[in-house]
Amino acid sequence: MNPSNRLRGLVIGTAVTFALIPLLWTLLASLGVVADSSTTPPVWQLPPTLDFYGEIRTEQTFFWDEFAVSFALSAAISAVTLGAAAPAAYALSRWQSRWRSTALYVCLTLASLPAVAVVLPLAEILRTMRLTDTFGGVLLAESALFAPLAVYLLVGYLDQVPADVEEAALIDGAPPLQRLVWILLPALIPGLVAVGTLVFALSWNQFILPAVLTQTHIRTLPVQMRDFFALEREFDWRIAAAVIVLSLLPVGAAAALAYRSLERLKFNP
Amino acid sequence: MHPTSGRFILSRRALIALMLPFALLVVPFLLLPIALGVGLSFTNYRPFQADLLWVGLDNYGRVLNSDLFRTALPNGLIFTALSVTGSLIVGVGLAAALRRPFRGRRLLRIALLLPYLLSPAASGVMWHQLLNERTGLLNIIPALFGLPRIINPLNPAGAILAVILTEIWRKFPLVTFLVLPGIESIPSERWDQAHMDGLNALGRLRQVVLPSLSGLLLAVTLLLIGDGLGMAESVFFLTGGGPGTQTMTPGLFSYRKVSLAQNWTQGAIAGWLIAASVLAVSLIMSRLNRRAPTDI
Repeated sequence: MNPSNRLRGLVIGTAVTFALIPLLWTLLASLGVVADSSTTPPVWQLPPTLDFYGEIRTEQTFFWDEFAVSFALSAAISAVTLGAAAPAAYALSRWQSRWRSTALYVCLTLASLPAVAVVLPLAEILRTMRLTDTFGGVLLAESALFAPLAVYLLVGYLDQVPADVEEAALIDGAPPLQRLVWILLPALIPGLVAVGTLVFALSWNQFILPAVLTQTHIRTLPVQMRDFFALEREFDWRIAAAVIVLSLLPVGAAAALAYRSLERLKFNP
Repeated sequence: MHPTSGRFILSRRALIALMLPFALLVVPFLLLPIALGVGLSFTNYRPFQADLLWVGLDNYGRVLNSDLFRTALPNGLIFTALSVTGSLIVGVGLAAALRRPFRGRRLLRIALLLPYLLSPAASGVMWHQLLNERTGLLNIIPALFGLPRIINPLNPAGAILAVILTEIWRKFPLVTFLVLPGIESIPSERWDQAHMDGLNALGRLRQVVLPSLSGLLLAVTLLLIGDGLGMAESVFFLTGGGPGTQTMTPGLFSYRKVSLAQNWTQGAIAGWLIAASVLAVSLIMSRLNRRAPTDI
């Protein structure tokens, strides 16, 4: 093994350990396996059990209802975001203008804007529209927040279909809609899958918007975490760990399923 | 790779029709809030208050003079600078190490996405427990060897370090994920050339990676800076802004002002200042991007 390979192995090993050990530790805690380090050697609680997953419900009666609401909300946000972003991304991808790169850069800038920067005026707008604490209100607010990122990423996918391929189909006399569907689909489907997954994860994890825009009707998982696992409260870490593991499951699974599409993501169109 | 042929151009009408759904969503729910954030900051606006008066820069004076914001502002800048730099170094380094395919690389890439897929809120709760004095991960190693444990890891200095470390943990996997395709597209001759020139890791980064990927890296950096300047809930769950106000950030300041102190005006101004700084960074970076050599 030459030194550069050894360095490579070291970098990968260290980074993977740093990234995954905290998650493994949390997974163990959710199974009731925790260590007390005030003694030497540390004392481990064994055997592993699924009890703490069951105890979530005794602690948070509506956990699974709110889990379902979060899921439905994130799915709806993905759909609305893609519906608004895909046509715009197609337009940008085929737009021949020196303003194209400027428009893309504006999308990137809006995508970089953190939610906390807009949430308070946004709450006032939704209140005027009587959308406070409603499914629709959070849906519109988060879709608007993620749409610029979706456009930016989808352009990266659509650019993978060269315009001349599309042009050739146009000359062949295929009707416009058919042309769009057959030529674009191979690039568009992975794009929609990847960006849809990403928007699902971002909205699943979004805290500030639902925390400010909702009260009691609509509650999402991160908001629930605020009410149960904030620092001021005494809580059982093993139950919290079970909630954390459950909260990671849908997005982890979605990313694993969408992986082939995510791999084709080009961040710099 | 955008179209170069002059024949296929969308008509103006088609262009407008395609952009319309996006505009209907983004104008009222994203651009209008930004504009309102600026506009209302010069008034005495408050929810449920009828009269609207122009107060000039009064609100800004009050926020910038408050002790809490004076802690939050430098914190926000320092946390952002260090966590973005750290995430970029670790993330790009790892991407370079993963450049050549090997067995299990795909599985590794999926697994590596997990920290970014965990919500910032959950990541704050988790790291708070990992740094717990008695049952946390941090003190297991000294306990194994009978060494003295770290008492209260979230002490003032430790808390600042913990905030930065948590942010790097959450975001370096994203950097690796976004940068790896770019790094793979660099022709292998360039790496071989760098190898023959005897460049070390840092030299390879400067001579091979930076010139080819400047656009990509600037885009990733802008995304990270925006995320860093808005940092709120991860800190909320990790340290609560404490001990004292040691780890207060502008984002958390804004959230706390509204949720606890019922001070809409100060919260909104902090939010608008965050937006303004992201826009300023974006402008500066667009200048840098224009000067940088073109991508491959």
